[in-house]
Amino acid sequence: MGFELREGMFVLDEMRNVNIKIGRVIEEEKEEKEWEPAGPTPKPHILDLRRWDRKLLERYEPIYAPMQDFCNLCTMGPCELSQNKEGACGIDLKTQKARLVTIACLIGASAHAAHARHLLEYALENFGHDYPINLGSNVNVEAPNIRLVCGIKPEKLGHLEEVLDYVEQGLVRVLHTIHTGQEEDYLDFESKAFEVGMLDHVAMETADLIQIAVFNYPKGEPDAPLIDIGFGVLDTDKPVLLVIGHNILPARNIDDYLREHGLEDEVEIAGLCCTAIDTSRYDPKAKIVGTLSYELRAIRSGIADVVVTDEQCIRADTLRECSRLGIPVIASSEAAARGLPDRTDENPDVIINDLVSGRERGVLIRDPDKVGEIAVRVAMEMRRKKGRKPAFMEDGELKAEIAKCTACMGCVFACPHNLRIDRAMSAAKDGDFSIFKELEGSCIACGRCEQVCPRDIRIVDVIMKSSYDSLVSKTGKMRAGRGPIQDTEIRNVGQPIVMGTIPGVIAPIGCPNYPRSRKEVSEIIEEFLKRKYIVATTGCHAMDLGMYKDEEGKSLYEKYPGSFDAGGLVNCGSCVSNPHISGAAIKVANIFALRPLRANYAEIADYILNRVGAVGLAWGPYSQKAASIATGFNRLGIPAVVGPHAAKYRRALIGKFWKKENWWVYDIKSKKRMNVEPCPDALLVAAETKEEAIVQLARLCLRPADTYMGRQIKLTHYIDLSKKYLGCLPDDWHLYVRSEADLPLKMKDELLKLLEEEHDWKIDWQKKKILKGPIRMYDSGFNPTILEEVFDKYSR
Amino acid sequence: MAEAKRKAKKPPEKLFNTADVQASRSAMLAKPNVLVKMIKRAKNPVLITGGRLLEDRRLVDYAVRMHDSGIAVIATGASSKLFIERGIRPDACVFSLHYITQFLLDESWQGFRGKPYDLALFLGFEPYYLSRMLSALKHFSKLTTVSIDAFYQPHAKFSFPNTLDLHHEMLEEFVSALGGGSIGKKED
Repeated sequence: MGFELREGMFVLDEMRNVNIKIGRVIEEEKEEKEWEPAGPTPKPHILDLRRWDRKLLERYEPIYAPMQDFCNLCTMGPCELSQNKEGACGIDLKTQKARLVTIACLIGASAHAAHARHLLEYALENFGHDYPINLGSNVNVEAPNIRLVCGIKPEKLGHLEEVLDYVEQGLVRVLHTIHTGQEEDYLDFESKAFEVGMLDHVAMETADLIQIAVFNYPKGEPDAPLIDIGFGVLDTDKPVLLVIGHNILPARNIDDYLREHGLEDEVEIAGLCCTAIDTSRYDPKAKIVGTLSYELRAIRSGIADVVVTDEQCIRADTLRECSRLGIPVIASSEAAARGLPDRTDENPDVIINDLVSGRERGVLIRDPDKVGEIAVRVAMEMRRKKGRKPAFMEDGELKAEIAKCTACMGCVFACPHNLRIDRAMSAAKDGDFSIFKELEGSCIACGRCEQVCPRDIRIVDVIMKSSYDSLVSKTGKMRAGRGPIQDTEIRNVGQPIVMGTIPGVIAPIGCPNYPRSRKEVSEIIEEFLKRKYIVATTGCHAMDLGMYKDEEGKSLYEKYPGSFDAGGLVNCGSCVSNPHISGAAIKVANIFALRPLRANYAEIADYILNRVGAVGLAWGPYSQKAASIATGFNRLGIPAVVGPHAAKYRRALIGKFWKKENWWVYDIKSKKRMNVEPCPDALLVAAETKEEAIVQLARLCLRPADTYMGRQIKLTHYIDLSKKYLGCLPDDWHLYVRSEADLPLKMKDELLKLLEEEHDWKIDWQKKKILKGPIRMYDSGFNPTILEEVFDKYSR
Repeated sequence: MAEAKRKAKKPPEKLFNTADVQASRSAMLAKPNVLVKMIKRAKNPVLITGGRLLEDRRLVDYAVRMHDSGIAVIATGASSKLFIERGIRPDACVFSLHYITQFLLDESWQGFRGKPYDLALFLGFEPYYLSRMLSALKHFSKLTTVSIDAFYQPHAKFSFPNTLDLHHEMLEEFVSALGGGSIGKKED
């Protein structure tokens, strides 16, 4: 006889010949310690925060920019929906676009949730259910998103199971609504996208908490080590093992194997994308080649002796590209098996022999512990067998490739940036490679140009070869991802952020699909660091910020401190570290302002929207993950400026400053509903140039609750940046003036005059005082909210 | 793949991105003289300029001449600085094309000077970015949109063809035909 006991409590008495499998052991039910009274929305379902979403969406109206004007998801279609027509199922174009936005967010959030699940399964098996989540004495609010959304205070790994169960159920619930014949209101789809974005931040926080706890990553230390980054940091005299993707597990086991066998100085482990960031959080000696846009370059350069892939943002031609160069590939994730044979349970010696001999182009190894040994041994064997790789392209080959070009323009029309490759080819035929060198900075090495070239010119290689010396010698420094923002830091900066005397928090996050040169993101960010904004970064932007150096050879990480403070540049880590940034905003509301955190989403988001001048910058967004992450920030009241490619996400959230009826709050102090200045005036908006992005970022840091000192500082920067980059005062500066004290000191007289002459405001010139004109007069006790329940709660 | 490539037709010359395809109408090609007539018939045409003016100063010359002929200018992408250097104050400087598109989609918007725009010319944008904004305006507004950029924009109502290296010549022809002084002065 045999039976299986699943979760629960059982009494076994006088039973014989019983074979018992025990699942998870549940301790006798203890009363959960009441760490904080639960708020109104523990583990919210789809509709629980709908009212909050509607408040946002009424003010920040979605703008849809369709990629396609048809739908072909069901067999009644395809349906032409142009000019907002309805399809066979009744859905119109606007709602269909909102549906697609929701799908994009679902894809992104699912990637993070599955990533978190992979990490959790591994961690539970290897470290146990009771392994503590301890982020050190400076981080007591260890999981602000999880506490806020789920109402759970995770103290050990096992507690995260409940969190992930909730996230996965939530994602499925929203996915179900995508089916044909469900929503007919685009705002309801947008609300669902918000829901998914929120769940994404919970999933990412779960993933990063696990990694930090069990792999002993930095725990919020501002002086996390500096990591080598760039092609030039690799010692290619050693075997090179290239890890690509987002999941630390295989890379971590490679690193362990190297250390355990004393090989860390014999083999180079180099990473691309977020796996690289997380490997360097585990081992500061690990090196980073760069972002997603370096994948094809790194593979084609031939530097790798073996390539290990895990999950997300890995090119879908990795195996083909590697095989062309004889580089074995080890796939390690269910997310990307690459058509390779599953050799997980076979003898490593046999697998290694097959890979080195070329009998197998690659293998799938699902056990990350096993990947460590196989990857290292294959790298070493490959190097012994083949020696150092020859240059990937000789000068003669370059000339021959260029000579093939007929200037048909196919590449120009295929290029995502419409780069004028034809002009570069023409100049190169005359020996002038300067246009190619210029193109290299903007080329994302996607390879679309090669797909359409009728002469099969290796265009990516030509671009790379033209800048090869500078590319392979490129070196930089990135501060290792430090993870959370410390509670003590929040205590120090909470008040100046809310007052506005720290003018804002700028968060460069996301992918490298930049509109122009890769170094633009550094140029944007340094403008704000010099002006003492706080900068907190993650992912590919965090890497690119380390890639460019000033005239003295220093990257931004070497020039600015790693503390979450005015003028500090904080690298939180990889994509899944984004919740440390949303978490910092949440902590300002909780730790500084003492707003209850547990399951109290709408109140906290309302606080952030009205008071915390934080803005995201996704200058090169490309992935669905970026869409989901931004949407999660948006629901929390944090706007984002995005690069022009983000227009392809189809939807933005932009307010209309002239619609006075949209810009109102309840003032808890005066107990009145009143109009306010339109700030922030968008939740998601694209800028086209870095100059435009800089000015938008400064504007989106304005908040209704700024004190006069804070508003004066923020307006000073906004006006100054506008004059510097746009050549004039911003068109809307007057909308943000509540009293003469808000005006930049050095321009006070000039601006008062303009208010009088151009905007018909009444000025008392003797006292230099504004008498009439502002949307509202400044009140030091102003206490805004757009939520009736918050107004009721605090105005009693 | 090579075989498939050989079989593939040369991409249609008129699309700036061969995959940016929609089921609905594509832009009609705009000849400079026809475009001039259209603009002269419009009640309140506006030229919206983008970030590529920063890289190609000749575009600024043409934009200034359009302004001098009486067309209002909305400068985005930081192109305002170039107008201001030449003594021109655009209707708006600080709002990105994304904002401007959102405003144009709203029929209740009275423009930056109290009068709604009925025809918008677009010059100097990243093609993929402009394409999306034109798509929004195509599907959700009645505005007449005209792209006078170097790449053909399928989602505009009217567009220059892919002029590429002949772009300046095309603009010259258009701006010369535009003349000066009498545009946008019609009464309702």
